[in-house]
Amino acid sequence: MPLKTLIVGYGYMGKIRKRVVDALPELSLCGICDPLFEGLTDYGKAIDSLRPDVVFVCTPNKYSPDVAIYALEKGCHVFSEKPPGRTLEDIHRIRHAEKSRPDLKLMFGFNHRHHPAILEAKSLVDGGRMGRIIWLRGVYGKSGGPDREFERSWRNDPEVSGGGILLDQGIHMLDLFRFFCGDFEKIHGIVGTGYWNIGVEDNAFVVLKTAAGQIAQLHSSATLWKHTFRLEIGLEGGYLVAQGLLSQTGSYGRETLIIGRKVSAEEDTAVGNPREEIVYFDRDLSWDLQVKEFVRCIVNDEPISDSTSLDALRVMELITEVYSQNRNGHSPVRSRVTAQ
Amino acid sequence: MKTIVYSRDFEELEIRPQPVIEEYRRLTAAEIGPRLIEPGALVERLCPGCRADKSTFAFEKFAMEYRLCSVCGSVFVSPCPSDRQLIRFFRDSAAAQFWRDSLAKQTGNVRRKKIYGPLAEWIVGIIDRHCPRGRESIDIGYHSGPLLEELCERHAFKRIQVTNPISDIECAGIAMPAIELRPTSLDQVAQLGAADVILSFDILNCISNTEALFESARAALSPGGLLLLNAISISGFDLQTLWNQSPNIFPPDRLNLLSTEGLADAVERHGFQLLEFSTPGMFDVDVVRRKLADDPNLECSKFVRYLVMNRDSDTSHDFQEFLQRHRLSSFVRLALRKP
Repeated sequence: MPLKTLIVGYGYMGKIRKRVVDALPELSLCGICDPLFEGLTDYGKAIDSLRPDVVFVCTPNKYSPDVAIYALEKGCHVFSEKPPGRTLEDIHRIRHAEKSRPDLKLMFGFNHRHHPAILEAKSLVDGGRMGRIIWLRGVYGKSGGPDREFERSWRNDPEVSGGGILLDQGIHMLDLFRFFCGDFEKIHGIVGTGYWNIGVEDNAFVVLKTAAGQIAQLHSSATLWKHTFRLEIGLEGGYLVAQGLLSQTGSYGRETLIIGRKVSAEEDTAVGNPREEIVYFDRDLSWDLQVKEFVRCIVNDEPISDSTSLDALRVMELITEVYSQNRNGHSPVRSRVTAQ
Repeated sequence: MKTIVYSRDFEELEIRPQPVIEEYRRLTAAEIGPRLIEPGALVERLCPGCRADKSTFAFEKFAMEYRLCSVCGSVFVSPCPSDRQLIRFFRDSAAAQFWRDSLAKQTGNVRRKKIYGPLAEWIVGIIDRHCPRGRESIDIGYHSGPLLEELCERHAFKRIQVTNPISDIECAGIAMPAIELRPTSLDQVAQLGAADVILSFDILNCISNTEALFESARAALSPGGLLLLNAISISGFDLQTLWNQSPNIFPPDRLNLLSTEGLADAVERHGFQLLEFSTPGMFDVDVVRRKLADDPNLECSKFVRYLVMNRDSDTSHDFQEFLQRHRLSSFVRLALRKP
């Protein structure tokens, strides 16, 4: 029997999730709930009446914690988009609900982990043949779009979103930093609103350090007039550069992974200009792969190990710390807030 | 599916010194007649790419007829020498002896550093990614010696069973604990036992029965196992441009020149999943330039002539990279998975 599936929120992400749900035989869509619909407009009534097995939470940040918590309380497995709400408190509430229902699965939509260039890079790093990661550098940004439309978006309304580009898009890069290096113990961030007439940041620069000494740097931006995704990984034995994203519009450029190996002393290649291998990818299965993994865990009753609520908590701690540093008017290097 | 592009850090002449290659060609041409063109022993073939039976005359090289498949555009020798004849040729001919004694030795260091080292890196990378348990392997290769050494240095496999269906001499000198020489015919490969990974480099072009290669690899592989292979493809820039004038098309080294479409058809027909289709060739432009320089009257489009003869080296490098990126170089590399 396929799992009865409800999608709550039918904007950009809801439509992507519907395509994935429709393609998976293990899932059967029983309803879509959205306030702009004529039928199912109230998520509580939808969950109570349809009694789904699985709920996809694709609502704006203000609503997603309440939807996720309600669905968990009603015995539904939950797949929630990122960010996990607007504040650290939101993810703590969600985790509290999760702990009270250990029989249910909860996953967050950190789908960038499943992009082909990232999977390839992760495999190379984990293979260990290129040595230990020394540093990470990530740039992730967009142009915003037509002025008024972007400024009016709920994503830039602090009351609904809880934060700006760092919380909306930079969160993916921070999650990838953790995916590759684990937890960071130091973080130093500066955010600012330099162009758009919005109440949240349109640029964020963040520097982080792990206990092992690995350093990472993020630039998250809503004023990159050319859409950009670029993650550079410096290793003892070479470097990896994941850039471009196989997005729906293709505006981030073709997804590639550059693999360069440090030139050894006996090689005649000019030092500093090694042979590079560029891997081009032509299919983005990130949405499908992540949901498949979620479904696999439900069907086999296995614990979620990817994009967990702990991953969501950790990355929200980083973002919260950056916001806190900036609210205080200065940005000292501070230790990360420890999870409760 | 993915495609890989390489930046170039060596010249073609480093691995194919012109006088040595010319001598190898001369010896091959001289021995084709007496060794391979045995009346009554040549066999008519279907297209090795798509198995179509419709083909037209393409050209003749060393008295052997190349056919052009009317369906997928692959080019192949037909009628073709038998396996028995080919084995004898690759083992005993003066041309093969010259390859082993002169060409392989003269260019051994640079081949190892620039070709087999990176190839071994690619192999271990793709195994780590797609078949991390892959520790049992079979090598169905031709010039496998240096590659096997590179793989052993990287502890890529617990065991590599080497079975060279056309000539095992190069491997005979290799004494490494992980390597076992297991001479067998192509259709008996599965009897070596289940493999996680099958390596098949430099061989698809020079066997009479390409079907047997895919069939035996599939039979020998465990579910989820990988078949990694390379080949020269007729869809590549230098071969399409030079066609019968290409210095790289001659029998018996190039009995089969599958097109991109023919390769895709063969992969699908044998039930493999395509993980990577790359054409990481580095020398298409150089090959065309040298040929046009040697033979200024050669028929060639004005644009191509202008591009390769009149523009600077940056343009050539960029164009070669374009060929790689769009899978238009003649050197093809595939990574396939048995579902």
